Amino acid sequence: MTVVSDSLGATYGQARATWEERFGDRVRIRTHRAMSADAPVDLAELYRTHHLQMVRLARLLVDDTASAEDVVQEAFLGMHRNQASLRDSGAAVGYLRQAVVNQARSMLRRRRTVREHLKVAEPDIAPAADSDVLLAEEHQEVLRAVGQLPQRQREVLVLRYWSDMSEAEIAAALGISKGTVKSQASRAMAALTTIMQGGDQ
Amino acid sequence: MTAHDDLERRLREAFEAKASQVTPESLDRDRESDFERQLATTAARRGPRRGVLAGAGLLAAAAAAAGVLALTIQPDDNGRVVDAARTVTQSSSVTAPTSAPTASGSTGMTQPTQGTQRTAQPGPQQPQGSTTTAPSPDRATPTTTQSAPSPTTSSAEPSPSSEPVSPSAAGSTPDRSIQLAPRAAAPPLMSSDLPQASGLAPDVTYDGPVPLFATLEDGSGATYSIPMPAGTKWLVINGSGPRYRILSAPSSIADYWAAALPGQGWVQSGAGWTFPGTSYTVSLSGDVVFAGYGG
Repeated sequence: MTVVSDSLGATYGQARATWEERFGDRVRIRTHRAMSADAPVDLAELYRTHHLQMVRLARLLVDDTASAEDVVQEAFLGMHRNQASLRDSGAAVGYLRQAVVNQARSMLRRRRTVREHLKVAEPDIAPAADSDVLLAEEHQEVLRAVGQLPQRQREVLVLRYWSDMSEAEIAAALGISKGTVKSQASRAMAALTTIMQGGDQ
Repeated sequence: MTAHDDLERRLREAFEAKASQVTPESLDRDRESDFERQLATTAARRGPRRGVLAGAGLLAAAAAAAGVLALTIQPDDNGRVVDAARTVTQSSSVTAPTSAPTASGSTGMTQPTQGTQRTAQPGPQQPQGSTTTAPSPDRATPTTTQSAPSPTTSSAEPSPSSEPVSPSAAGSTPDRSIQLAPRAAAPPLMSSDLPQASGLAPDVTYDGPVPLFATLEDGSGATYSIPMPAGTKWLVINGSGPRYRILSAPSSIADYWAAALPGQGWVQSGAGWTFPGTSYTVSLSGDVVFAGYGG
């Protein structure tokens, strides 16, 4: 009986790994939501299953992989520190994503302040080696335009068009109202259109 | 397909292309083991301490209840019963302006500084006989010399910011020694007469504590003090972030930190030290000290 159970578990694990690799973050969110809301949050498991996706999300927000990894690590450590207050494993991914967005924002703010206060000791943050030069020209053009948008608008676009989140989910992740999400997205798209047609914002 | 739909499609494709540049192979694998180690460490620490913490919590609650009771019924100098709520309010309002004690330049290292107000200068944090040989360019600070007891002997010395303020000194009711001012845990601030992070110059030798520059929640900056053995000489490594090269140290910095940093609230983590509740990190690698975020 044990053998059968293990075997089934292994099969399920393999299928799930393939499934998650293929369908990404969106599917995993629903998987977690289907879990018991009272189950304790297994951070090690959360790390294994979501680390890569969160680094990718952070990368879109902070622009270089090393900083993105810092952001995600700090988000996980923050969850670890507050684990006692996390009782809903179904909501853990949402908390994590929110933490990543907040940490990314803090990192960008820190960079700005450090640049102002610590001009000598802090290195100039040049485009990273893993920057967009390897991307197709069409993608580079879009990303350059996105880079000119205000931070909040960038966050909304990334969560909407990469994380495929609904307006309500974005509002929860960013701590703003649904109406603000809608207006920020609308302004962002209008600004992008203008920028990509050759005009300034 | 409308122009809007087309833009959405291009956005999705561009984001996907950029995100796909991050592959499992490109990630730093050490981070996962670091995280697992932290999880394991905390789990091991939580187990046996749970009962002790519960007991301490009960004792603290009982003590607080007794304190409130005593405050409520204790008569003041005129034999009247003091209204507890009024007293607390007065004490709190007196405490707030005391957050800027003057630095005498000769006090010892203030070890137990966890809970120090971020806006306060808790006094010189220079550990021992440190001398500023090269003041920062933006400060006309002359060479200053401070002598202080060793970190192990100074822990009994109260930090200025933790000293209760007597309301009677301000012409108020008798001393209740109650302080309600919110205190955020943070490392000790760098004394204003020592090199600040914003003023460090390349190719200049400093000695004494190294600065850790931080951005606070309100966007302002603060420079925290990382203690170093007295007489340690260092310079900023230009263009490498908050890293400092140790030119000479009279004793082992690692040993010194092991004695000094825990008292300030730092916790040893892996090869360095972290400050709980923050991402501040201090570490020593060879002759290079890192004092900043992450690490």
